[in-house]
Amino acid sequence: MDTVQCNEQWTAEGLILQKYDKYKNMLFQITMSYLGNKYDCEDVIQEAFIRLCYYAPEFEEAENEKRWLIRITINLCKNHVKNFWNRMKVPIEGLEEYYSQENEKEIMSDIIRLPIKYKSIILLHYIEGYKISEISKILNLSESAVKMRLKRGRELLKIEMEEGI
Amino acid sequence: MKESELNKILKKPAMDETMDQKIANVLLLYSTKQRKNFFAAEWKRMWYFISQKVMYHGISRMAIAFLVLVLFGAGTAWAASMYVKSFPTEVNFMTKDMIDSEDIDERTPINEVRKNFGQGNKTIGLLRDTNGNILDIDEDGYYTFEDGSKFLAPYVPNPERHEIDRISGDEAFAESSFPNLVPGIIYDDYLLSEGGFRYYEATYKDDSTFKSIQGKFFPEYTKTDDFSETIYFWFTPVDSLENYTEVIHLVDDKKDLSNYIQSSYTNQGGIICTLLKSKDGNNIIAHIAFESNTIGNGTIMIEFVNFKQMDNIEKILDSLPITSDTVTNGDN
Repeated sequence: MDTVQCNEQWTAEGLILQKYDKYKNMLFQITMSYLGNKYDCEDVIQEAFIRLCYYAPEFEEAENEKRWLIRITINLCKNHVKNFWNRMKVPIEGLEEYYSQENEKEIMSDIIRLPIKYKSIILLHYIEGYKISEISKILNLSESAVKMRLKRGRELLKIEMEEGI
Repeated sequence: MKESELNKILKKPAMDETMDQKIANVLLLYSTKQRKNFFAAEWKRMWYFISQKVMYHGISRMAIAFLVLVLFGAGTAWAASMYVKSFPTEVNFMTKDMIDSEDIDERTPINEVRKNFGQGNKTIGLLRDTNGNILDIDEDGYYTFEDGSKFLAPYVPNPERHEIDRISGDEAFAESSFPNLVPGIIYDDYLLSEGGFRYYEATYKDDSTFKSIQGKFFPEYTKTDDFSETIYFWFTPVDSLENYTEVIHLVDDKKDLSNYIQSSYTNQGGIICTLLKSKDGNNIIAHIAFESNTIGNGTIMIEFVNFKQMDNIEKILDSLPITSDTVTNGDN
């Protein structure tokens, strides 16, 4: 039988829930943009936090922990959508619960269909407000690659840039 | 669309209370109790990735339809009369670029119907004691640990879960006027995943339709220690097999083109199963194409992920509820 050792830092009852409360909404928004329905989001978020318990290194700063969690979640989402089974379904049927207006649903559907390499960058930039240099560290990409993908992602989504965003 | 609008849309979804509580309960289980003995398969379960998707197209390469999920399952009473003629499937691999250059028409449906049958079961690792035995959940929904402490379980297994899955399969197949085609062993040893069976129907401009039934299964916790095993089934009823005996697997990269070894297995009922085994051994896909005057024509694809034993796959294929008419001298 496989056995696992939970990292000692999580043995204090409730600590994991504190982390969960802190990051759950952000991760839900990210996973929804990849997966399009709450059931798959639930699986991925659950697994991301469990990996935090068992696999996470020690973080010197809270921001590093957040970035680690984002990276793990994005990787789990990528694996999920590459799965044969998940490729065969249209992952937008769960959007009605969150978007009542037709134009919002259409935009969200476009985001879900956006190629993964552009989507990760768009999400980090527009959900969490990360700058190009920060995204490059999180995703382990060069800044020029991030810049190029952000530009291309904006073009695909027909995003009009605004001052101060 | 303006940036501010995109930002607003992306940040709109909020987790509902039910989902929030379910995840929180699971996390508490993982982090606060029995951590040394906790059965790890659930969190170790990787979203297996198969960098491919399957599309059928005719020899004339006129159309592509989505592949559909197969659910086996049928009772023995049905099996006695389900005689079919099965055929090997020709499998090819292509990248998206190759498909585009072949000018294969990926049709767009003008109408789609989606239905779910049954609720399925939540995949969750269950707790074990220091000897590796699964801890029971009492009637109030609590685990009792060796030190006598109790912990609320995230869910209480329904004792009728297998039968409920089987009935859900019956209902899903009835939607396309087929008997339940899921092998009995799957209903006995595995659980239908959350969301139940999926039924999909698409209608195209020329009034042709495409139907599919899909089901995903994970192991029953009392039968195995390995939750990483997953079975995916697609069943597609077809008017004629003429356009459905060749399957294209779409792969992401040219290097994946030769990732599978093709072979064949004829099950105990004489059904020809075309097998594709990935070179890393983690993924085996079985294609079955059959014709029958009694039940109709169809194609089945079963994908076995993370199966360690080929014997187990063969047992499942052996329990397909259809039988070759050449073996049984049936009246197909």
